[in-house]
Amino acid sequence: MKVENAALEVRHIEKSFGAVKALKGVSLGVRAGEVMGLIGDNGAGKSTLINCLAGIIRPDAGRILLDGEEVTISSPHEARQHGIETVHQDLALIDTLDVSGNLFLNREILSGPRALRWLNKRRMHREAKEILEGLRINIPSVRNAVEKLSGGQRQAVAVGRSVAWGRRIVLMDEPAAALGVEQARLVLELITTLRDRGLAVVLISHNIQAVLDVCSRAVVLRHGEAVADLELEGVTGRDLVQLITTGEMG
Amino acid sequence: MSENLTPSISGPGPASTVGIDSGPRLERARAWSLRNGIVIALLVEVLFFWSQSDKFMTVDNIRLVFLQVAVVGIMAVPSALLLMSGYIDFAVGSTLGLSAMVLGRLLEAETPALLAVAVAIALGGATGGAQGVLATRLRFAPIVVSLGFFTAVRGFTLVISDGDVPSGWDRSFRALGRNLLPGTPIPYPVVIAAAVFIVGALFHTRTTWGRHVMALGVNPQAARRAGIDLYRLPLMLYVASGLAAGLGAVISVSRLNAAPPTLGDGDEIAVLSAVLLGGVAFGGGKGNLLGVVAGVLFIGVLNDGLLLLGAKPFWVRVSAGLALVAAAALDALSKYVARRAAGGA
Repeated sequence: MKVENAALEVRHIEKSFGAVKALKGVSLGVRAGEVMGLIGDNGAGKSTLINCLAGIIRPDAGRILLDGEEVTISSPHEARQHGIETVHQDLALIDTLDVSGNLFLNREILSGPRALRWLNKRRMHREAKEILEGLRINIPSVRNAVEKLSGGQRQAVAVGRSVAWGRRIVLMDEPAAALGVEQARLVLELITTLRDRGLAVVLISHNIQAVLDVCSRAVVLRHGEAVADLELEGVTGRDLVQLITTGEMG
Repeated sequence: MSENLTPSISGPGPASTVGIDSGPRLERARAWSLRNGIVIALLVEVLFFWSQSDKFMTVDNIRLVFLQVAVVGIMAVPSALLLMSGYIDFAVGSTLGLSAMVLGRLLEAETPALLAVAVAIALGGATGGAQGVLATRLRFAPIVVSLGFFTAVRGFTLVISDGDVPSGWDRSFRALGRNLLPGTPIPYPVVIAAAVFIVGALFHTRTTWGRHVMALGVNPQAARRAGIDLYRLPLMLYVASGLAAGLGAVISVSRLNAAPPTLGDGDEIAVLSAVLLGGVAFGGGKGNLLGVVAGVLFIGVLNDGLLLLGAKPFWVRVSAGLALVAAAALDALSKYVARRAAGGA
C-alpha cells in the first residue's frame, strides 16, 4: 500500500543472512503523527527491518526515504543525524553508567574552552532529571547506575531516551516486554506523547492489545514479506492473530 | 478476546532494589572496601614490612620503591584504560625492550639525544598501533595478537642486539633517569609517572572518551547503537600504550646507562598484576586509575620488601606471578559478592 506524505518510507527492502532471506522486498510507510504497528511471528523479519532503519545493518537492496527524500543510513550515528531514535529489545543501556550518563550517551554535555572540553556532569544530571520528570518517568536518582534499577525502570530509561531525543522517527522494538501492567501503560502513554508531538512511531510488539490500543495502522510481516497493511479501525485481535499466523484474514 | 492474545501485559513487577536501601551505610562500606580492597591490602603490606625491617621506612627506600615502579606505573595507565575498553596489550615489556634497544643503538652511533628519544617513543607508538590495528579493525583476538607481539618483538630485539648490550654514550643522558626534581627529593621518572597518571585520570573521568571507553567495555553493542565508533578509541589506546612503553624505555635506558636486550622482561606481568589488583576487570568496563596507583605501589612494595627481608631476587618472579593469581581471585570474589547482592544465582 502506498502511503501518502510518509515521514518514513521503505521500498522493496531486501536482506539476506547467508542462505536465509530475512526480508524479501518489504515496502511500507509511516506518516508523521502516526503510530504504526509492525507485527508478525518470531523470525518474520521485524527486528531485521528495524535494524536496517537504525543503521545497524545494511540492506542488500531497496530504498529508504525520509519525507520523500532518499537517504542511506550506514551507521547508527547517521540514523541519529536523520532524527531516527531506536529502542532496542535489549535496551542498549550501559549498566555501570548512571541514568543521566545513559540518557546522554554519545551526546554528552561539555563545557570549557574549545580545546579542553570537560564533561559537565552536573548539568547532565540536572537535565536528565528534568527530561524524566517531564515524561513522568519516576527514577529514584539519575545518579544511580542503571544496573541498580529494576527491570521496569531500566526500560523506562531506554524509552525515555528515545522520546527525549527523537526528532522525526522513533522505532520501538518490544518496548513494553516484561513490564508490569502499570509500567506498560506508561510506555504506551509515552508513545502517544510522541505521536502528539508529530513524530512517526513504529512499534514492534507481540502484545496485540497494545498494538490495537496505540496504533492506527499495522503492517503484518510473515516470512520476510509484508502480507498486510491495514487501518486498525474495526479490526479485532483475532483478525491480527490470524494474519500473523496464516497471512490471511478470515 | 481470548487469553493467549494478551501474553505479556502482566510481566514481573519491579525487581527488589537491593543495594540502594538495605542498610545503606553498611552496604556502602562493603562496596567501598570491595572497590578499594587494594588500598587496604597496600596499607597492611606497608605495615608488615615496616615492622619487619628498619630500612623500610626511610626516605632512600621509599624513593627507591617509587623509582622502581615509575616505568611500570607509566605503562599501567594506558594498559588499564585499554583493559577497561575490553582489549589488552600484553606486549608492553617487549615493546619497551625494542624501543630501548633502538635507542641504545642510536645513542651509540652518536645520534642527537633528542632525536634518538623521539624515534624510540615513536617506535613504541607504532608497535602499539600495529597491534591495535590487528586487534580492532581486523578483529583478531586481542590476547592472541598480544602474545604474538610479546614474543616476536622481544625476539626482534634480540636480533638487533646480536648478543651485545649497547652502552657507553655520553653520561649526560643519565640525568633524566636519575636526577631529582630541583628542590625536592623526587626523581624525574616519578614526576613523569605522576603526570601520566593525572592526565590518564582526567581523560578517564572528565572526557567523553573516558566515558566511551567504559561503555565499550561494558556493552559494545549498546555503545555502537549509540553511534560510538567501536574501534577508534581502543586503537588510540593501543598507540598510547606503545608510546608509554617507549617513554618507559627512555627512562630505563637513561637510568641504566645501557640497553640490555632483556630490558622490560616481565614488565607485562607487573603491569597486568597492578592493573587487575587495582580493580580493573579483565573483561573490561570496570575500574578506576586511583586503584591502579595502589596496585602499582602494591607490586613495588612487595618486591622491595621481599628483597629487604633477604629473599633471593628469584623470588620476585614468584611473587609477581602470585600477585597476578591473587588479582584473579579478587576479581572472582567481587563478582561473587555482586551476584549475591543482586540476589541472583
